[in-house]
Amino acid sequence: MIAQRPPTRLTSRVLTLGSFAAATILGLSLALNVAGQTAAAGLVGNLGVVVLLFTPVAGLIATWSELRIARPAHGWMAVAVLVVLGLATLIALLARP
Amino acid sequence: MIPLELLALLAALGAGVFGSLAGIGGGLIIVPLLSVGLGVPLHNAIAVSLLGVIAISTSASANYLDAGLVSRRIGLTLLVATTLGGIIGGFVAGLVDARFLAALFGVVMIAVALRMLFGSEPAEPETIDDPEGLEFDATYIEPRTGKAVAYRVRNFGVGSVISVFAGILSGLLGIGGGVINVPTMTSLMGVPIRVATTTSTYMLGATAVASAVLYFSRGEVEPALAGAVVVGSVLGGRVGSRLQHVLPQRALTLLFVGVAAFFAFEMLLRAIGGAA
Repeated sequence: MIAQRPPTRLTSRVLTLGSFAAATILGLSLALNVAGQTAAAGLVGNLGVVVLLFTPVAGLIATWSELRIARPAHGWMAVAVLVVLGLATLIALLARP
Repeated sequence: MIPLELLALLAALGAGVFGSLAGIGGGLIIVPLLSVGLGVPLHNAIAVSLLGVIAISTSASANYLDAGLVSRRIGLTLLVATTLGGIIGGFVAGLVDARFLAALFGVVMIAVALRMLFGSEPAEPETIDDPEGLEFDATYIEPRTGKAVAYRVRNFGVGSVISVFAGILSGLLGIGGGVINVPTMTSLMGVPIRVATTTSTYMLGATAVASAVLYFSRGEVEPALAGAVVVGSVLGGRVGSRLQHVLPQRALTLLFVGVAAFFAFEMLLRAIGGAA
C-alpha cells in the first residue's frame, strides 16, 4: 500500500516562478550590459541575484506549509534548513569587507 | 571583439548541455571554462557557477516534485548537513588562495573522471513488497514502467556526515554536491538511482545558497557574468535533458574524461604556476 503523498504543488509553483523571474531579470541585465548600459545592468543584475538566492528559501517556506500538517517532523526539517540558511546570511553580513 | 559576457553565455550553454548529458551538472565544466578558457578569476568563476547551480536546481526540481520523484523526507534531512557544509565551504573559500582552489579542483576533476571511467554500477536498492510504515520506508512510481517501487533507506547517520563534505566541496568549488550526494545515496543508503538523482537536484539549490550568499557579500558575484551563466546554464540544461536519450552514454563518458583530463591538467598547472 502506498501512503498518501503530501501535496507538492505550492513548492513547485514557487520554484518555477522564482527561477523564471530570476532568469528573466538576469537576462535583462546581460542585454543591458551588452548594450553598454553597465550601471543599469549592475543594478538589475544584483536584483536578479537576490531573487535567485531567495527562490530556494521561498521553496522551503512553501514546503514547510505543505508538510506541517501531514508530516510535522519533516516540516520542522524544512524550518531547520531555513535556520541554517539564516545563519549563512548572518555570517555573510558580518563578514562583509 | 565579442564581449566576455557573450562568450560566458556560450560557455555556460555548452557546459549546461554537456553537464546534463554526462549527468554531472554544469558546475564541473563551467568553472574551468570560465577560469582557464576566458580568464575569469577563479573565485568569481566559482561564485557565478553556484548561481547556475541554483537556477538549474530550482527549475528542474519543480518538474521532479510534480512527478513525485523527489523524496523530501530524505532531501530535507540531508539538507541540514549539506547547508552546514555549504557555509563552511563558502567561508573557507574566502580565506584560501586561488592556487589551493585550483589544485583541489584539479584533483576532484580527476577523481570524478576516474569514477565515471572505472566506477561500478550503483548497488541494487533493498526493495520491499509492502512498506511497514517505518520512518525510512518509502515508495515512488517508476516513470518507465508505471509501477510502484518500495525501498528501505539505511545508514542515514553516515550519509548525513558525508553530506556535510558534499556541502563543503560545493561551497569551495561551486560544483554542486551531486558528485558526492548521488553515489552516497545509491551505494550507501540504498536509495534507487531515479530518486537519488532527483532528490540531489532538489537539494543542490539550497546547498548552493548557503555558500553563494557569502560570495555575494564579498563582492565576488559579477552581475552581468551571473546573467550569462544563469541563462546559459538553464537553456543548456534543458537541451541536454532532451538529447540524453539520443546520444550514447559510453561515448559521452569518454568525452567527459578527455575534457576533464585537459582541465585538470590546466588547473594543476595554474596551482603550481600561481596564475589561478
